Amino acid sequence: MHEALVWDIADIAGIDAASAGKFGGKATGLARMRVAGVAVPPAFVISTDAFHVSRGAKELSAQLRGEVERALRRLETESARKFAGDPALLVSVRSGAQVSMPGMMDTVLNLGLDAASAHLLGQRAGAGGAGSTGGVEFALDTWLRFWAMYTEIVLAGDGDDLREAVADARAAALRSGARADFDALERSVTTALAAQGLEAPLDPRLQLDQAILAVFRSWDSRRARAYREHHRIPDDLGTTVTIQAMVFGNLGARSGTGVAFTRNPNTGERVLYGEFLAGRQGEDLVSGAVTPADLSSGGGLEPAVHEALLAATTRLEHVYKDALDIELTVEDGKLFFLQVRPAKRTAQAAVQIAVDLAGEGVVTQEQALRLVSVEQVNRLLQPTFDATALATAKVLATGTGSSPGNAAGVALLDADRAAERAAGGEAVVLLRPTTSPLDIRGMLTACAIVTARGGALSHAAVVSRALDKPCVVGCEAIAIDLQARTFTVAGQTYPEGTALSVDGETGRVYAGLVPVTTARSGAGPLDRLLQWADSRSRAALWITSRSLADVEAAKHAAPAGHGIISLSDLLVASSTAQAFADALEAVWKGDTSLALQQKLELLAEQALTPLLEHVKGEAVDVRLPNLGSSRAGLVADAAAMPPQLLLPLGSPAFLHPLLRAVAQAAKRAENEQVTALIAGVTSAAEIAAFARLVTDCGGLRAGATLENLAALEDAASAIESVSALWIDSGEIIRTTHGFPPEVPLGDQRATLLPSVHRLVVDLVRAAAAGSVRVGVAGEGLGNAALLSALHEMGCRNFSTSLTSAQGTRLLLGQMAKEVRDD
Amino acid sequence: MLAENDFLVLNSIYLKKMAAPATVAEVLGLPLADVERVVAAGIESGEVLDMGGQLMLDSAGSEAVLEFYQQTYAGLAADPEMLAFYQRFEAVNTPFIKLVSDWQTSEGDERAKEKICKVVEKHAKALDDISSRIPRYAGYARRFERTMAKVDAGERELVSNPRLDSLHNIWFEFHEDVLAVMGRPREA
Repeated sequence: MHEALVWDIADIAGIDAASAGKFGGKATGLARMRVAGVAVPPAFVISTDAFHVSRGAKELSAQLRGEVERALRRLETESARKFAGDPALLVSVRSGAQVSMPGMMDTVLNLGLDAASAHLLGQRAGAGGAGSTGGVEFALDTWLRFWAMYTEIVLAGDGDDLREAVADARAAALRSGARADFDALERSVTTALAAQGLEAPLDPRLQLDQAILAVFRSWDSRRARAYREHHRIPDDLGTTVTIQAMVFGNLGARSGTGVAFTRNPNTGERVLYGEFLAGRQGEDLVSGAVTPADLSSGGGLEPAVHEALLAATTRLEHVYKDALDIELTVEDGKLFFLQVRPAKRTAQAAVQIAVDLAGEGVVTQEQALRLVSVEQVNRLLQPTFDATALATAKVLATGTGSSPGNAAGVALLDADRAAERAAGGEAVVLLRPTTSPLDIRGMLTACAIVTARGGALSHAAVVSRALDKPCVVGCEAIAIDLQARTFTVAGQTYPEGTALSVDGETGRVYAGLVPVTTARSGAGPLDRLLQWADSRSRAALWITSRSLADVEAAKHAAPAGHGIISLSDLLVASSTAQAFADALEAVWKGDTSLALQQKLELLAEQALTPLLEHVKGEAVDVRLPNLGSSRAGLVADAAAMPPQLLLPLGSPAFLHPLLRAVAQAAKRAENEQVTALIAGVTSAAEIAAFARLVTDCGGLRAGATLENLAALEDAASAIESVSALWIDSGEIIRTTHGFPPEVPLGDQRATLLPSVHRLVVDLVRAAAAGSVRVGVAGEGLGNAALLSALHEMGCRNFSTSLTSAQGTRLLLGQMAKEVRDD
Repeated sequence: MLAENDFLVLNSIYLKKMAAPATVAEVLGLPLADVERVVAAGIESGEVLDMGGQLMLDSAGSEAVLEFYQQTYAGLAADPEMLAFYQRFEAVNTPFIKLVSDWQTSEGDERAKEKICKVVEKHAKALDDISSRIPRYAGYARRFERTMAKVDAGERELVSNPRLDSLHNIWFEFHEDVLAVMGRPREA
C-alpha cells in the first residue's frame, strides 16, 4: 500500500518533529494552532512525497488526484459547504516548503467558483444581510479577485489587465445580478486571457489541479533555484501544498475581520491590542478605507467572542513562547484564527515583552534573552538630544518625522555645497524644498535631512531611512529661497549656515545646536535583562574606557575589568595634551635628557592616577603608547622620527618613564591589579623582554596587545612571562584581510581568516594550563557571528567600547546556552 | 552627438551624479579599460570632472547626454507602445516606493521584501519587452536580476542603500532615464 500523499491537518497535529519536513511550515503551523486549542478553518496538505512523484509532470497522477478529491469531500463535510456548489466552499492554495524561500508561489485565494456558483453566492450573501446589490458585489469581487490572482500566479499573466478588460462585463453583471450576465462575464474572462495568450479551465476542480501544479513548478523557478544554491539547501527537499477552506468576515451580520497583538507592539504593555472591522474582509483592514474599532476597548466584538479571543491569546503565548500577531475572522459568530506568528515590535517593546514574559513564567530567563536582538539594544542606546538643553531649545518648524534619530549641524540649501562643507569636517543639515536623486551626494554626507515639502514616501524620507539618518519632511512652515541662499520661517529670514537641530522621530526642527548625548541605560527592563545575560554568561566582559567619564558610565555594567585603557587617550584628553605633544616631539627629535624623562613621567602619572583611584581595587589593563602606530601620528608630526623609535622597545628614554609612571599611579591608588601592556610587538622575545622591564619596575603585572599575525603566532611562547595577552580584533582582521583603516568592519567584513582562526585556538589552548589571561579586544565584538566564533574557539575574555558593551553583554548571555547544548 | 558607448558611460555618471569608473564598468557590464578610455576623453574635452577618483559631469557633459536623449529618442514619446510602457511604470512607481518604505519601517520584513521583488520581477519583464524599442533597457533588467539574487541571498543592504547598486537605486536611475527618454528630464 502507498503512503498517503494528502493529509488532513487534524491528522498531523501529533506528528513527530522528524516528519514535520514532509508537511512544510504552513501546515505544521496550522496543526500547532489546533494543538493550542484555537479554531482553525479546516485544511489539508499535500506532502513532499507528492511533490517528488509529480516534479516536472504536466498533470497530477491518478493517485494524487483521487486523494485530493477525498480530502475535498472531507472539507465539504467539515464546513457544511460544497466546492463549486451552494453554499460555496472556497479554498486558498499555498506553497509550503520546510524553509520558506523567495520565488515560491504566492497564495491563490477564493478558488472554487464558476458562473453558476458565483451567481448563487451573490444571492445567498445578499440574503445574509449585505442587501441584494451588496451580495452581488461581494460575489463579483470574490470571483474576480480569484481570477486576477490566478492570472498572475498560476498563469504568469497580468491580473490588472484582466480586471480592466472585463470591467464592462462586471458592471453589467452588477447592474442586473442575472445569471446570464455572470455567464457573459465568464466568457469575457476567457477572451481577456486569450488576448494575453493565456488559457484557463473554467471548472474549479481543474483550476485546483493547475494551482497545485503551479506550486510544484515554482520550486524550480529561477529565483528559488538561485536561493537554494546560495544557501546550500538540498534541491530535492521539495515543497508541500496547503489547501484550506476560506472563511468570510463579510458573510452575515455577526461577522468581521481583525488583527490582534497579544501585547502593545509599541510599548510592550500587556494589553490586547489591534483592530476589528465588523462585516468586512481582511483587505478592507489593509486598505484603510474604513476605520476599524480598537480591540483594547472591546473592538465591537460580541462578549463571548472577546472572551474566547482573550483566553486564546494566553494559551497561544504559552505555546509559541512569544508575543504574537494574530489574524482572525469571525464568521457568523464563530471565531477563526487564520494565522499566528511572532509580532513585530519596537526595540522598547522587545525588551519590555522579554522581561514580562519571563516574569509571568511564559518563558525562562534564558529564552527571554533570545527575544531581543543586539540591534534592538543598540537602537535603545542611540544618541539623543540632551534633555536639559532640549527643554529650552526653540522649535523652528515641525514636519513629518520620517527617519528617527537626533542630529545637529549647519543648514545648507544645496547638495553640492553641503557635501563640500561636510568634507571639511562640519556637521551639516541638508535643507531642501524636496530632494531628488540629483541630491544624493549631499544626502550621503549630511548628518540630517529636512525638506519643506513631501511626505513619508518622498525621496528624502526613503533615502534617509536607507542611510539611517534623521530626516524630517514636509516642514511647510519653512520657505526656502535657493537664489538668495536664505530660508524664512514665520516672517524671519535666516541665512544659509544657520545651525539647526533635527529630531527625526517627532518631526521637530530646532534653532541652534542642541548637544547630543549617548544615553546610558539606567534602571528598568533593559538593565534587568542584561543582568540575566551577565548571570548566564560564561565569559568576562571588560570595558575599554577612553576617559574618567567612560569609567564612571561603565560602572553599572559591572565590568570584569577596565581594559584596554590607552595611556595615549588619557594623555590627549587631559588638560596637559599640549605639553604631552611637545614632549613627544622632543622624543622624536632624539632628546633623551633626564629632564624630558621626568616630564613624561609626571604627565603620565597625573593622567592615570585619577582613573586608578576612581576604580579602587578593580583590575585595570593600561596600554603604553606605541610610537609606531598610525594613531601616534595624529598627536604630533612624526616625519622626523628616527626609525628605531618605531620599535616597541626601541626607546628606553620614552618607555621607562611611562612604565615608572604607571607603577607610581598604581601604588598611589593602592591598586595591585594593574597590568601594563606593550603594543606593536612582533615576537615572544619582545614580550619577554618587556616583562623583565616590568618586573624591575615593581608593583605591576606585564602583558601585551597582539595586533599582527607575527605576534599572534609567536605569543604562545611568551605565556610564561606575562599575565595578560589581548588580541586586537580590529587590527588583526584589517591586517590579515588588507582592509584599509577607514573602512568600517560591518557584518560582511568582521570575519577571521582560517589561518587566524587556528592561531587563536592554539593560543587559547596553550594559555589554558597557565595563569595568563588571553582576551580579545577591539572592533567587531558587537557582531554576533564574530563573537560567537571566538566564543566557540574558547575565548572567554572580551573587552569592548562602552557603546557596544550592552549589545555584547546580551550576546554573551545568549551564547551561554549554546555551549551547554553541545 | 555622442557615440553609443560614450553615451552609456556618461549617462551612467549623469544618473548617479557621482561615480567611480569601476562602478560604472560594473553597472554597464563593460570592461574597465573601455570605461576609463571614455572617461579620459571626457576629462580631456571638459565633459567629465575627476574629483579624486569619483567622476562627475560638468555642464558640457550633462548637455551632451541630454542632447543624445533628444536626438535618439525624439520619436519615442509619441510611440503608443513606449507611452503605454511609460505610463505603466509611472503607475507602479508610487506603490513601489511605498513598498520600499514599508520594508524599511518594518525593519526588513520578509513579506515586504517579497512584494518588492514581485514588482521588480514584473518590471524586469516589461524592460525586456520594451528593449525592442530601446535595446539598452535590457541592461536594466539584468541589473535588477543580479541585485535581486543578492537580496534573496540575504544582502539586505541591496534593497535600498543608495551607496550600492540596490533595487531602489536602480529603480531611481531608471526613472531619471525614462524621464529623459520621454523628453521631460528633471535637469533640463
